[in-house]
Amino acid sequence: VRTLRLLWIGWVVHFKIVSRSPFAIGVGATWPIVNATLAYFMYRAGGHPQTLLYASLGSAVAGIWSMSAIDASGAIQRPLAVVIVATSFACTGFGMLGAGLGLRWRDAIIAINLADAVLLIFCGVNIPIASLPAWMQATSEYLPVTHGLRAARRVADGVALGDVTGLVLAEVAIGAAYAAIGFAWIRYLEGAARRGATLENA
Amino acid sequence: MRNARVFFLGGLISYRALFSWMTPSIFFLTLVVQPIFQILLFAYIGRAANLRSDEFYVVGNAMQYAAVPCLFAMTQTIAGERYQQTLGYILISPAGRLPLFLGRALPVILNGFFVAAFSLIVGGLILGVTFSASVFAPLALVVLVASLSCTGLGLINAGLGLRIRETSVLSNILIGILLIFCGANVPVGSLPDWMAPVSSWMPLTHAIEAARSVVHGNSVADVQGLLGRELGVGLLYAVAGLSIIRFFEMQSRRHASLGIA
Repeated sequence: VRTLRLLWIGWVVHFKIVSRSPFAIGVGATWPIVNATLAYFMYRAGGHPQTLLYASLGSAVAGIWSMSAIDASGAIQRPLAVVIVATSFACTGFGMLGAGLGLRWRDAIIAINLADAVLLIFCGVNIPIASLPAWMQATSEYLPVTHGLRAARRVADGVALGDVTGLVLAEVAIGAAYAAIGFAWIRYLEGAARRGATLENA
Repeated sequence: MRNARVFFLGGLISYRALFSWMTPSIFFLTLVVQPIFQILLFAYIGRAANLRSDEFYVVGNAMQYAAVPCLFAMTQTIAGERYQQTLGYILISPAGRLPLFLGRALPVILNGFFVAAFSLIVGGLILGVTFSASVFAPLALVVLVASLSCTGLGLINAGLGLRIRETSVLSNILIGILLIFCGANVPVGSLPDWMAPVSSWMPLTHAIEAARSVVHGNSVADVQGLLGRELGVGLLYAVAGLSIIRFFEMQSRRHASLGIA
């Protein structure tokens, strides 16, 4: 109960802090819209309607509000909510690596921005994974979002949630692996900061 | 002489002051690594969309990244003073506003030039896009003109910083708008009808077109019209920016509102 209470209060407090930051909201809303709009125009100009749907769904699953997302949302049914929760969990696990970095480096947010760029390129958000070089395709299998997006696209195609269970579980497993590594990383750096009295030196 | 001193020394000191928060690691990751990721992202989307060659995206995004330091650093010249609580001292000083703010633009223009040139070369190397050695000199001129015009837009943003606090958000929005409108990734002709005319009034649009033309073997003389238009647009924004700075400065004196924004 104590852990659950800590989780809930921690979430509420963090949500309040973030929701009062014009920078966090402004930047968080701007870039997904910009990227989705650009992908929309690029695929439209390239004359690939099927790839346009691919990019639209990528944007929608990435939590992007755009005209692409609105189009995609028509195709989305309730099962997608499950996929989004799994993907969010995986991204949070991945984010814990960045959180740990913050214990050692004051400008960890810059590294998070780069990680965001990596996910955008590797995970098939706007680019079909099959069109990436082989080494990038192999890497994408071990990143969050990839399996979640694959599941989301199949759900949007009308496949039942039961048929994408494997993909959803893979996404959750990847998230759990990152969360475990991230948690160990935070614990290690916290211990190191205590030992070396370096918390404020970061 | 005094104005020249304010222009050069003031600009240099202001640029150096940026590094009080912009550590080398931030500079490297934001202005050296990030542009490469942007080039890769759009080059791969472009391949998937079968739209244009890699060269199109390398040139477009490298040029677009000239705007990033120009916009952010120009904005920071006002926002940074506010943050350090020295804005009031700047505005009560008798220094001419033109050398004061344009001097701050000079190092930023050079910074934008460096970022664009680096992105062009490294982005090209990664994607296997080769440029003939003869294009670099004219391309350098185009990048310089693009940096100049983006600084004009940065001056507007800096001026707004006298009235609003969240200029970083505004800078992000402006960069995003430029990315969509100026033809860095989507050919201007493929944009919706209402967007194409708007793009010709934005900085970068003509410079990107000129850069692509130069890369295809045209000389500076062939693109002088485009460069002239780019400079004209930049000048227009610079005049507007300086007017906004002047206006908001007077308003803040009249209403004692400098610290309220």
